[in-house]
Amino acid sequence: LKAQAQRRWDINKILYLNNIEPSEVIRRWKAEQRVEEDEEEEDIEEDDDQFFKKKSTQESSADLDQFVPSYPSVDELKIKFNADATSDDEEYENGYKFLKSRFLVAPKVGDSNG
Amino acid sequence: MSSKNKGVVTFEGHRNFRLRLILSTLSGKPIKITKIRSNDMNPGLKDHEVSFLRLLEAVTNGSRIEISYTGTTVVFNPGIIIGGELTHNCPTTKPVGYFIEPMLYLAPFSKKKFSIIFKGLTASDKSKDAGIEAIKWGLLSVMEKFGVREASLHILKRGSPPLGGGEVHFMCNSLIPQPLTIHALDAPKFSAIRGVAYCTRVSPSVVNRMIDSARQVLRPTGVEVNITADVWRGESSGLSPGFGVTLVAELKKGWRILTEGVGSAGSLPEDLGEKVAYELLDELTKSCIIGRNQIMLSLVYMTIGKEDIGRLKLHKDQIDEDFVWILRDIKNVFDTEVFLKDGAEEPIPGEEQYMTATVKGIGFTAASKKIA
Repeated sequence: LKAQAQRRWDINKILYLNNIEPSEVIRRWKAEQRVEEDEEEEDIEEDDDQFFKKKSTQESSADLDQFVPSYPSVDELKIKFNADATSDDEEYENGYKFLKSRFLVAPKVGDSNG
Repeated sequence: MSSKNKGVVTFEGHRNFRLRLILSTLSGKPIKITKIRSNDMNPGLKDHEVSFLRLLEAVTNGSRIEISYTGTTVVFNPGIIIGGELTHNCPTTKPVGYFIEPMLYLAPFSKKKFSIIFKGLTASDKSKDAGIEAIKWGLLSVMEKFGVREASLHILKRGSPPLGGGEVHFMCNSLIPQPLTIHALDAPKFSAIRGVAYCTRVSPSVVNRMIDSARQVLRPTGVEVNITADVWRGESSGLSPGFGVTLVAELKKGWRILTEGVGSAGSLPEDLGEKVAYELLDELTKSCIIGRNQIMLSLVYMTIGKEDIGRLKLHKDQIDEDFVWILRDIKNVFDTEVFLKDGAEEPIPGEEQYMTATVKGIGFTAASKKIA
């Protein structure tokens, strides 16, 4: 089952299948494991409490027709971009170092010969 | 969710509400949107959605809108895009960007030129809608790539939440039969980061505090950073105090990727500057040639383009749930599918993080070019 969950799907084959929710399409394509399924059984009592809570009417309206994409919190981004440069931290690879290869850095004053 | 019945494309829910109406208008196909917040405590359309329907009615000729008694169902029979000169008063629940953004999809294919003055909030911290700079720098630049060169957006007055009082003039003098076919297959380098930090009815030092904190985050990139201060005073500064910042990474060949933020009551300008700068870096990490907020416009323009294959390189992180929803909505209306080619299949190192979206244009013809 675990092997099946980790199987990567061809996104073109599932992209337009209306019986598969878009979130599921992405999950299958990225071959994410269904951790939630295991967690669901453990949290049944908590779910009951949540079920009877009044749902906020404000939250859903704007979120489905928005321009600004969602970002991680500033704290997470700080960790991502400020990991120690000398360490072998994997996150650092995605931070400034990763971006530096894509930036055209201007020469400093005095560097140019002209 | 959608289905087709007697030529009417049916959607469920309020997701991509504006996009679905825009696609209907461009295609000329009537649509029916059902179950709009039907399980919500306040079911049906919100005031900004009704306002958007009114705007759509104003810029088209012959559109017919039917809203059910509860507001949970809308039937839209599109007319011809005519444009023209008008003023639209936007409700204060949404910034004017919410209304301007969909106009970008229609304006170049109109019968007459678009010249609309939008009145209301120019930015909002409560909703995730496009700000004026985001449209000006992020979306108009994308339109240019598709051959729409004479579109402009001018801020006459800035209007911060909650009271607004802003005015924005959107003009589109470029009437084209259909968008050009693009082949954006490079991953160009970022040549500079620019931006604007603005404030209305607060101390001008707020702007400098935002700029300094944003600069501090962007400094390690080593690229040129140039953020302009834009302080609004007097009548042109609207009715409420506020501040915000927009940052844009400029790529070679004129592409731009951006992030923006608006200050909330009680928040610090330094925190906002820092947050928006980090978000820009995150967006750049997840982008190739366009940002996530430019994908929808690009895909729609590619779909309605000439009957030719258009190609756009995307980062794999940009392919998310929202992306799939957009593609499905486009398919439901235009019956066109986008093919995604995995960069991992290419023998070039570094390409594995990208996908190429390929779509064949439908050969759309603008209302102004149609022969009666």
